[in-house]
Amino acid sequence: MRERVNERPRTDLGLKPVVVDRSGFSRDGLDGHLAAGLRAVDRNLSRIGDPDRYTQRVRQEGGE
Amino acid sequence: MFGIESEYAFAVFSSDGTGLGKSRALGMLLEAAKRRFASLPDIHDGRLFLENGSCLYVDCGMHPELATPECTTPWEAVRYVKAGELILDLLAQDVQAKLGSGTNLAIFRSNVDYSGARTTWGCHESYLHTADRGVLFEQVLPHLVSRIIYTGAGGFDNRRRGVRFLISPRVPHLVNAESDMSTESRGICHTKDEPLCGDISGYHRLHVLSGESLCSQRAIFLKVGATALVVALVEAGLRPGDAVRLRNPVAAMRRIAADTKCAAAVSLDAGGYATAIDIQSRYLEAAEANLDRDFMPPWAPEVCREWRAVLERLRGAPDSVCTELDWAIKLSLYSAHLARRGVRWKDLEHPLCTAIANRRARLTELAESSWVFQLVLELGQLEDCELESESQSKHFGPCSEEVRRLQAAAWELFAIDFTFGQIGEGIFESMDHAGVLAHELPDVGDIEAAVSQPPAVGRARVRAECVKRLHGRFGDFRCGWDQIINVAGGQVLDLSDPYFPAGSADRSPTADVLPESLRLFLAGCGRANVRRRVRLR
Repeated sequence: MRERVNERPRTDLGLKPVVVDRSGFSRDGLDGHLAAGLRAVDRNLSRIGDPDRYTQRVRQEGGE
Repeated sequence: MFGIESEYAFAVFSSDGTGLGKSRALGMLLEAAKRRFASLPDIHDGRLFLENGSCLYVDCGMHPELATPECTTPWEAVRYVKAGELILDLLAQDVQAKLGSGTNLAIFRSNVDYSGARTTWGCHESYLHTADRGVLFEQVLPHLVSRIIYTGAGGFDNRRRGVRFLISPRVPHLVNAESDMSTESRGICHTKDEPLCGDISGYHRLHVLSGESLCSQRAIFLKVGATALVVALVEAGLRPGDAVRLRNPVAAMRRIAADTKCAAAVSLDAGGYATAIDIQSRYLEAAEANLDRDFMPPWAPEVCREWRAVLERLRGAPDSVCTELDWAIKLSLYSAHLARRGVRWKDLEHPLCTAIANRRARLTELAESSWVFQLVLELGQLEDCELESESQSKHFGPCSEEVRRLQAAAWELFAIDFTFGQIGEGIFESMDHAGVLAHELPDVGDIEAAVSQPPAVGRARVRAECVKRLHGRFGDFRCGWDQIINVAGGQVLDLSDPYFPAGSADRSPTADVLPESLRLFLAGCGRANVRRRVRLR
């Protein structure tokens, strides 16, 4: 895994953490893929910091 | 025979904010490739042919691009797309190790930009064929328009204000059915016919621009497999697209891209309407009806099985495919995320939801030439002044909390979508590692081995063998898709025949199976002033 350089990481997303039980479902009744996906979303949102600022920093010129 | 060229989004982050320029970082990426892999430089420019037969380069817009070696099965195409991503991840790690802590290179499988630049970049497919070019284009077009129900990457329309999810976010950037340009006025197909087969006549190249970089193995497999079967049918003189010719292909594609239930009907040239599933079913039935014909590839039955199965599942879209196809995985995930935020898709369609992002993008452009604008951005003053400027909105009321909440949700979606396909640490990979997706195909084979090994069949194997043997003699040798040149010795190894050497499907790419003509070429390396062309036979 490469080292991450965070951009003002967010510690509070204002979201209730997704907790997955042994069956793979979340306590809120989400099935496995959504529970795993939302946990990944939360990790990524924490990592990238301000989404708007991040979107500008990854700005891409057109290609092809 | 087919291949895929993928452009990847690329960004450099640094902890101190100064950053390494993208141009310099990409240069370092290519240098890392020369160190890590055997490679030969391209004949014309700064491209590198690698030891697995693929080609790495930096394309316009500062995108790293990887073209797979020539592939002859859809599993192989998946394997080499995935191997290419592994190559880029390894190279990014090498560059980071050299730069030390504080700098992070990020590479993304994504297709559109959400900063306000309104740009797109490509994932092009090429299919070698012997059909009449005009007939093939006409026959394959309805297939390319309708296949997005399983080949769409999913994402947002970055050419309009407000947030609108599309099955295929590249579709708004396609304005013609066919075009001779790829950076503007894009077509679903490009008109260029570069078969890269030297002076061998009869071969043509179908160059598809409408495809997108995908994470799902099954989606890549179907994209290439189904399209190659349609090409094979037309090559054999059949006309599977006649019954489903579209009245307006570009408009039909836009309608299909916007319908996540895959039930939208589009107008047919002969009158009446058909859904994308109807159109795909016609092509599939034509392929199934010819499975025992000699012109069909040996892998056709397995592609048809997968094709039929996914079309059946798509009748229950989007939920029925939400663990296997890129766009449906994204849609289910983004919907769940919005539900947590208490936001409805419908609310995000309002133009005001992206107003600040678009204006901030304009200021980002200005900041490149003005430190004053840079300062404004850094101080974070923009949001308030922009909200003030939008205060005339009658929909939400002036500067309402509701506007702020919806804009925050929109920016989150854009950022989530961009990082969904990030190589090495994206959301898709996290879900895949958690074992919750159903996208993998067992016969894709060893992706890690494909980083250094070429396909077993065709000229890519010979090219790769030459790259491995001649690596380190930079300046002496130049490589192309259809030839390798010994610059000092004046020799040219002719690789015009893409299927050379024939009948070698089960043989490993070792020296003892190399043709005599290649031995001669390699033996002649270093001889000066010998100007002759060596054709492989």
